[in-house]
Amino acid sequence: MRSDSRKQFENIYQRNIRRIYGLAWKLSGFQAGEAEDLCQETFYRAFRSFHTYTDENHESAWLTRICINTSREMWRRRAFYSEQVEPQIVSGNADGTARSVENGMSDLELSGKLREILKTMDPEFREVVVLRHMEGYDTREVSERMDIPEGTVRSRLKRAREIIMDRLRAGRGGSHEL
Amino acid sequence: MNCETLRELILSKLDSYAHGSDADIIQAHLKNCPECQQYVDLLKRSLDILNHTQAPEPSPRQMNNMWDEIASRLPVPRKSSWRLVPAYALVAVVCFAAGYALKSYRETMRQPATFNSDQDSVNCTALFDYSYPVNPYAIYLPHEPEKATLNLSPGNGFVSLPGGLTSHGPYAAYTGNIETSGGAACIPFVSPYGHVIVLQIKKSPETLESGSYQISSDRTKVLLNRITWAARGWVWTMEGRVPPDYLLDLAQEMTEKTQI
Repeated sequence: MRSDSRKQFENIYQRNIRRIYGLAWKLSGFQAGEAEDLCQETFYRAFRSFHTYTDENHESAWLTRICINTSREMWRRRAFYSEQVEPQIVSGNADGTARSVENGMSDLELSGKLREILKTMDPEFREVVVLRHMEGYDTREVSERMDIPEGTVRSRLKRAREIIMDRLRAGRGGSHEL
Repeated sequence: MNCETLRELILSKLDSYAHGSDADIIQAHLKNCPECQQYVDLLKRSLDILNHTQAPEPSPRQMNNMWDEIASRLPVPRKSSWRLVPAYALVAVVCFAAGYALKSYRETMRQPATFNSDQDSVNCTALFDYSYPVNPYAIYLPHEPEKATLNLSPGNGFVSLPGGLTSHGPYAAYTGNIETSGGAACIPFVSPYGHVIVLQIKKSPETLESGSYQISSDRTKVLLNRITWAARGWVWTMEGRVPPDYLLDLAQEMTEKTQI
C-alpha cells in the first residue's frame, strides 16, 4: 500500500465520516455501537476497493452504497437477532388492552415507536425508508445507491409505509375498516 | 372507493404528485372520512418525524478511535518509491551499459570476417619474428575458407595469399584442409574478430612438401578450445597484436606435443 493512497483515503474518511456515521446509525437500528461497527467496516471495505474508485464526483454515492451493502451483510449475519426480538411497536396498557397511537401520543413517543418499527423491519424495507425519508434522496437516487430499479424502490417504499402504518395502528385491534 | 383502496392509493402516490382525478378522489374521500383523514395525518406526522430525525454526530474522539481501528487493519504503508528513483536509474543505466557491451561483443564475434588485404598483411608482418627459437608464425585469414585458400611453398619462407598478397615466414598456412604430416604442426583458431589464425611450428621447413594438408579433427578441436578460451582475453586489443610471449609459450608447448 502506498502512503499517498492512505493519506488520500484518510481525507475521504474525514470528509464523510459524519454523514456515513449518521447513515450507519439509522441503518443499524439507531444503536451507537452498531453504527460504529458498521462505519468501520464500511470504510475498511471502501479502502479495499479504493483502487477501483475513480470518480471523485460520486464519492458520497460510492460510500453510501458500500454502507448499505455492508449493513445488509451485518444484518444477515445477525439474523437471529430479528428472530429473537419480537416487534413491540405499540405498547399495551397495564390491563392488557392496547391503546391507539394516533391519540394522545407525543412526537417523542411516536418517534420511539417508529424507531422500534424500523429496527425490526426487514432490511430491504428499512433501507428504502432510511434513504428516502430520513436521508432525503428521491427515488431515482435511492435506486442508484441501492443498485436496484426505481420501480422496485417505489414498491418497497409503499410496502414499507404499509408496514409502518399497520404496526402503528395495530394497537387498535387490527386493521381498521371504514 | 373504499378506505382500503384509498389508502393504497395514498401510499403509492407519496412519491409522485397525485394529480387530476386521483387528487380529486382523495380530497373528496378525506373530506367525508375522518378515519382516513386521521390515517393520513398519522402517516404525514410519522414521515415528518423520520425526516427530522437527527443522527448523533460522532465526537472527535470517536472519529479518531474509529480511524485508528480502521487503520490498524490496513496494510502497513511502504515508503514512496520515488525516493528510490536514483537507485533505480543507476541500476537501469548499468544494466543498459552491460547489455549494450555484451550485444556489441556478440555482434563483433558474429561479424563475418572480411578479407582486408592491407590490414591482414600488416598483421601478419607484425607477428613474424624470426628471433623466436621455435618461430611461431601467425597469419590472419578470413574465416571463410573459400577466401583463405593458401598455397604452400616449402622451403622459401613465403606463402601466397589470395589477392596477390605474400606472407612472410617459411610455412604458415590455412585452408579447410591442412595436414600436418611432413613435419609441421598447424594450429588454426578463430580470433574474436572472426579471423582464422594459423600458428605453425615447424621443425624443419625443408621436410614440408607442397600440397594439401589436414589436421586431424580431434586434435584440432582440443587445440581450438584451448586457444579460443585464451584468445578471449585479447578481444579488446586484438588487431594483430597477439602477445608474443603467449605465442612463444604456446608454440613451445605445441612443439613438444606434436613432435613428429
